[in-house]
Amino acid sequence: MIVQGDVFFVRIQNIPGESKKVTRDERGFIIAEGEATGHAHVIHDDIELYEKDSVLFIKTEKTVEVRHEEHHPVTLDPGIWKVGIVREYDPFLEEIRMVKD
Amino acid sequence: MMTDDIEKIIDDWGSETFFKGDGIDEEHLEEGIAWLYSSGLESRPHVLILDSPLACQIELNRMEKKGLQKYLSSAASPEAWQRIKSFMFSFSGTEAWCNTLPVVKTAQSIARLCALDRLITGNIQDAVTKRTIRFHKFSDDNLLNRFSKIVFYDFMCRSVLAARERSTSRKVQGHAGGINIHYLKHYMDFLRTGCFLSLFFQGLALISRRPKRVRFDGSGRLHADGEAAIEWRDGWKLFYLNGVLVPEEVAVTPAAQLDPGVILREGNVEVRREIVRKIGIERLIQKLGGKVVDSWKGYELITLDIPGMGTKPTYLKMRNPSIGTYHVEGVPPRITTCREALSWRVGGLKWNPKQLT
Repeated sequence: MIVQGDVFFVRIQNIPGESKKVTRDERGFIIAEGEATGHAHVIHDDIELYEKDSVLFIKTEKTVEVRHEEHHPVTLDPGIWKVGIVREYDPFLEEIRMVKD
Repeated sequence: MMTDDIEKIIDDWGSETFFKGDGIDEEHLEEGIAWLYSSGLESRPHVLILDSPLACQIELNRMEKKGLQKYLSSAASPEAWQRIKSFMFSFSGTEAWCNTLPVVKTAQSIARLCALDRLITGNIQDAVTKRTIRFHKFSDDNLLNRFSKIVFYDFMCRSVLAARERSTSRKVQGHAGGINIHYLKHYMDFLRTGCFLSLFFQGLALISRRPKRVRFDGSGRLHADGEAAIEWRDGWKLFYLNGVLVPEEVAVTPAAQLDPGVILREGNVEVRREIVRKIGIERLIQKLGGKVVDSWKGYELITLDIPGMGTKPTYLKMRNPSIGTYHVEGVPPRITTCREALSWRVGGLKWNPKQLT
């Protein structure tokens, strides 16, 4: 597992079937974006990014770097990675939600 | 008339309700009320315009104390009001009604406005009841109350009129005849005179002005940090943060000066959430003396003891290794160790990161 703030990457074997390809925008491949701050976890290198049921999957043939404004970069080795978002619990609402910094 | 048109109508009534200020066109208001009453075969009532919904409720309570209970209870005139309604709204099942219903139901912003309507009327009732005075239910179909109905009538009116303009065939005109357009338009004109909420009795109509000022956030929620979100002419105010009604102290006190102990006195979970959001959980933990129940590799698991809460809010305190700042995140209260908390954060996976930034 590789962790960058509220985003973590877990190596898997295959991209799930029926995943849809996600295109790069002008900032690069956006892996996760904060609602309040506008900060984003971004990959500038060429990768293949897929999405299924709101979960992202990264396929890369070379080592790539994930960047974020408030965290040092992390590197992903060649392979397939599932992107996870850290969750937190709100004891006042008694509900679980995804952390979005 | 299409979906775009309904959104415009919703915007129009939203603006009419919240952004027109507290002015009242008294002449047309009284004419409108006289017309409503005459439709119910009632004589023209005395019209009392008051500055806020609270002022209306206080006035009614004062009248009750003066021994006018009989006058008020017998004066609700349900038969008259029913006559008015049946005269005006007897179009259920007409083609226009059937065409209008799905359009209004699927309009995106109507649900938000209806929720706003329910929130404000509910909050007004709560605020009145807290003053230990009796709450009198506002009459049906006012500007604020039953938002969806007004939008429905307006859209149907305009649809029928547009159909009339497009066709001179007897068929279309016949369908239009199922709806008393004249009455609906008259009723909407009455609402546009500045009536926010009303209480109709036999011989007496109490009208509340619209608010002087209403503030929303970018998501359309009632919100004003540092001041009232709704303010009426007589100084009555309601305070909201992110759509949640909060005590004045919570809304107006700057975050840095707000006593974290205020959360201990608050029983409503949504208000508590807004207090946490405003003060910041870090400061709250610091001020309320969070108890560290486990430590591991620089992580701390902290619980708060808040009277009245069945469980102890539990937080994991951690350091951002990249920039050195600390922050806390909530975890379920059943968690008792930092390692459990870290694993829970990542969906139950074993916490053993090869890189952590």
